[in-house]
Amino acid sequence: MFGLKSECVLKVDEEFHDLEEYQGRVARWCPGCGDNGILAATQRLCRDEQLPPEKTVFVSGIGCAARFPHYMGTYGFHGLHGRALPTAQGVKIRRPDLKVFVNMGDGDCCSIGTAHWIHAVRMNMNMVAMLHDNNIYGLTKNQVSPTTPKGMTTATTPHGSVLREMNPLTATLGITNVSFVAQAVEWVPDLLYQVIRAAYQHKGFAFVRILQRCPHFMPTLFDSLLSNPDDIMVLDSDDGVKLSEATAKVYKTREPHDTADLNLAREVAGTEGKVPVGILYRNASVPCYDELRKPARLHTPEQARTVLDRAFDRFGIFPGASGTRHGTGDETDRRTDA
Amino acid sequence: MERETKRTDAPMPDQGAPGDPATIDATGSEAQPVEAAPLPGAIPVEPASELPDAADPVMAAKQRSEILKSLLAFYAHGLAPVGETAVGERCWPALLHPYRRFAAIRHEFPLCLLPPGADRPARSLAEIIDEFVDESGPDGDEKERLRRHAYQLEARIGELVSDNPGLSLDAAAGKASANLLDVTPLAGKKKQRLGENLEQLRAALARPLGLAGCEPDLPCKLFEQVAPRHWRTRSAAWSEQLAMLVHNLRDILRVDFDHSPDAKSAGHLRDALGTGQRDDVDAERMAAMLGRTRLAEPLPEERRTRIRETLETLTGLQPLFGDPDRRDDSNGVSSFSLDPVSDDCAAALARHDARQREMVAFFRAVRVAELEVSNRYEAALHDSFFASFDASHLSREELSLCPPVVLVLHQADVGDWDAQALLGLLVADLPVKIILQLDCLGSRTPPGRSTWVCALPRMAMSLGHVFVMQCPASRPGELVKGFARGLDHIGSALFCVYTGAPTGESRLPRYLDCASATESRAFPAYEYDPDRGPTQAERMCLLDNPQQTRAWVSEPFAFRDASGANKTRDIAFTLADFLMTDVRQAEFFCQVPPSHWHPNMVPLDEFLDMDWEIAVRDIPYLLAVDENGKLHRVVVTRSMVRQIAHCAARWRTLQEEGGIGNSHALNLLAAEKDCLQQQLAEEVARIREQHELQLEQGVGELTREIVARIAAQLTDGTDSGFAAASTPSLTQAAAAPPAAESAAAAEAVAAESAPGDTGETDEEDSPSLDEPYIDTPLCTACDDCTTMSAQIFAYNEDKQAYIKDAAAGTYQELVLAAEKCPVSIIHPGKPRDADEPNLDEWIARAKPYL
Repeated sequence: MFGLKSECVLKVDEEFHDLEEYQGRVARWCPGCGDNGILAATQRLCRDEQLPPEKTVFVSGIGCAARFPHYMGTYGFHGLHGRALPTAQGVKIRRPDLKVFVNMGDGDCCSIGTAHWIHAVRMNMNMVAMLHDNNIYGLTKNQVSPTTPKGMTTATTPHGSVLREMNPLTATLGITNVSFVAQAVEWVPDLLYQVIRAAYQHKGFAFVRILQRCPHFMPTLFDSLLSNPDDIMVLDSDDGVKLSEATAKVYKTREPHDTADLNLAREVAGTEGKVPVGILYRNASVPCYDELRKPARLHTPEQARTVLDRAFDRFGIFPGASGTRHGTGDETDRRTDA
Repeated sequence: MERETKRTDAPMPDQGAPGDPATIDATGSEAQPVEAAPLPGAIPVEPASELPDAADPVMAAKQRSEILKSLLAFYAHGLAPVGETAVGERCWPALLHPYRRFAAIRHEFPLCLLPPGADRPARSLAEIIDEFVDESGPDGDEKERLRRHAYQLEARIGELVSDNPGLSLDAAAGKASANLLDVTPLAGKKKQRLGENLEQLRAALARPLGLAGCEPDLPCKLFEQVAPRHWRTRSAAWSEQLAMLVHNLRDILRVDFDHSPDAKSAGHLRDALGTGQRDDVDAERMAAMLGRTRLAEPLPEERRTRIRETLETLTGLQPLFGDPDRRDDSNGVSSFSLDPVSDDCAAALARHDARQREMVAFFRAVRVAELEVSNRYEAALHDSFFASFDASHLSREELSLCPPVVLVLHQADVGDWDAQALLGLLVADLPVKIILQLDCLGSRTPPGRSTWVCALPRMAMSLGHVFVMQCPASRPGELVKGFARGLDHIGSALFCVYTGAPTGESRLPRYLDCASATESRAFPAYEYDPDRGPTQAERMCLLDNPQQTRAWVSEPFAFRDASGANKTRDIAFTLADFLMTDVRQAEFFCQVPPSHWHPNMVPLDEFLDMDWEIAVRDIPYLLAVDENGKLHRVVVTRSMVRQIAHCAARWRTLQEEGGIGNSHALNLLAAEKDCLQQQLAEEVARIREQHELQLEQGVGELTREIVARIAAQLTDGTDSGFAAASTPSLTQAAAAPPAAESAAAAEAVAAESAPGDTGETDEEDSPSLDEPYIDTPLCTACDDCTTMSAQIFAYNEDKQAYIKDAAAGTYQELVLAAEKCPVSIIHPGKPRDADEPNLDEWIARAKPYL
């Protein structure tokens, strides 16, 4: 319009961020750890989307994967075990202008953090949740996790895991308000990048399960998948991921899919034998809690301080002229008046 | 990126540099001790999104009738309503809101005015910068960074040009570059990169080119760029012909002189010898010898005089057409000068008369010269003809070689008394090129501005022989092309350019003001060129007006309603939206506060679709957005609605003339369609009748046959077999496709299963097995190989490994890296050094990875 093309409206005063700027400290995961690939794909996404580092937050709980925020050149919050999601939700509800990513391990998300996981899916707030699923507690040295395959010997199951492993995909797809579920494997960088990017571009809570190798405690877990690429079933849909030519030559097993069909997604998620990768389900029309509860206006730091002071004063002790008493919450105003 | 963080402890060894984003640790166990790390900067007070906000109208029921009355009073009589406010200084039409940060918008300005030898008169700076960046190297982060820095430089140059119109490109680039470096918030490596890129750009732009912004003098600047180029192109062939004529005339005179006694005098002979042989030759004796030769008949004195006069006339104007031997560089070759006449029709006419006399004399001399050169001039026949030779005798080609008179008219300086002279000039089709600059398109013109001037292009177009172009200054490309075509036209040409409201009279930057004039249909761009052909369809051309098949330009407008919900609606950009930004038209507009919004207020585009002449209780409004992103309603008066209706009617007429929705064509089309439909109906009726007739006949025959067969069966007791007769053909037809299909399928299967197809393709794509390589797209960035040898391995821009320098390490390192790679994508190839220790062992270990 007005003789101007829309792409001519440029943010010329913004600086270009290259991938290096999204690199934090030197990653100290074990050699060959799959987290490296997830980190590289995420940094590439940040670079390609030109996410302002000061407007991007990575939140994690506890575990190997939880070191993720340290290795990103953005803001981050390394929180409590299983509590990455509520922390991230707090960040998002208070600062909707920030891009929020959550990195959790399988123990973090599917064990101690299960309640938060369920409600995070239901609340459908705008963020990307990455489940680094290596099927084991690695940081605490080889304990069984909810996704450890049945029969697997671990430090806590010396005679083999007795329970059948849980499927985080079918679990997520069974939760009310689910809006985005995808799966990737970290050793196919092209696929991983595209899945994370689709998750980032989704409006709502995007849950991405990433099958990840743990070379130290589960060195052979994914060997069959690595040696038989045909066992990886790429979901093929018009709005799904589009593999590069080189990757497509290796991963030839395709499955026609409809990302809008929840029942089909559930069926595919429960597939035995082959591992489905790509976008299983996407529904951008699900309402987001952060938008439903969006405040009419955001508060200034001064306003926030006033409210906090008032809240603290309620529990303060004021040895005043009329004797020691507990605060009522009006002290701030009175002090200001005085 | 500079960010403020508060840290109480010194950074740990592996912490990021101070100022980098912090990691807030709630556990204190795994992360580094960062005590107070608030989120950066102030928490934004404004909404996160930049959508305009609509206010929630509050209105007590009992006030409604009073508010309606006051709104209607404004609509009908222009009386300010209750709660009225003037339209805010920074209030823009809603559709213009996204362009409020005008400095961040790339467009065709500033323009670089190119030297005469260049292939075109001007190029936009944006185009030059894009070209430089595109050719700067392969795509990647470096190039992207250069592009952004270049855009920043471009924006800064644009600002400098608007403040200092006389700046040249090299000076502006130098200033802007230094200025950017001074004010940049970047530091360290980033600032260094910015400096390096700006230096590259400054070097690329170090050309002493003139710069032009979207300013009132733009049409003249561009015309001055176009006209000399056009003249040089036009006169190129003619200057050679003219030089030949002059040469031939001089030859005649020289030969005549050579035959004269003066040519054989000793003095002339001595001068002819030059200085070298002056003493070797006896000029006196040679003169005596030559004096005895018989003299040729001299030219008649009358002819000699005529040739001399002709030669004098031709050489007098020869510089105007340039020197054919030096036609490759600048204006200096030709004495052609634009020298426009400003705001004075009488002076333009006088100049035209003087120039015409000059050119008539010149072309009379040309024709005489042509006759003299071929010795065909007969005084008895030609003298009388040339005595009466005037402008009417000039051929079309000769007329095209008359330099045009250029008249520049400014709307503010054109008086009513100029109308007659101007029309006379156009009607006579004199070769005068008129540049008419408008700066006020509303009905409320300031004192001294004539309203008829805006209609001049339409009037000129109706004459049929005048070249007319109407175009805003925001389209320099169209202006350049139009000027060239107008100069091609031999007769009058009128270039009507809207150059934007004078400074302070419009709320918009001049570029947007000009573009809005076209967008709102107030100043549609079109061209009428009589040279294109005899028909209107050939002559009239709408110059790519936005959405030109529609009455108004309509675009989606996104905003947030009072409840905070995001909404989008299509709104039209009408004449009122354009004039609202013109403070001279303020009396037609009134901004109504939300407390006075009334249900009877109707969006203007919807109001125009109603029968507004009889709508007595509706008040039209348009949407405007202030600088804080608040949405406002602006009501307009009835007289403004009438102006809009007239504007729409003019646009409709122009559409028809430009071939869009031409009513004559539509009527003909409808008539033709009716005729065809009628023919079709008749044909269908005829076929149906014929079919029914055949059906009746067929049924009759079939009935007779069935009766006959039944009768035969009853008498013979045998099966007639007519059912069996039809079955085989059906069976055959049904059987054929499966056979064909199975053959095709077999071929497809054979082709698919043919060995070697994919293998060959793979082989072609694979690199040589002798050289080490990495399947880079499959790299998971685990750092193993780069940690093992940073000399051999490196990461690309996507943080995926490749072999940087295989010769930087040993074959052993390559093999070890291949063994360690968790995704087995390192292929060590064959050893480069045959003397490497234990080579046999490494070759054997490398085998699985080849």
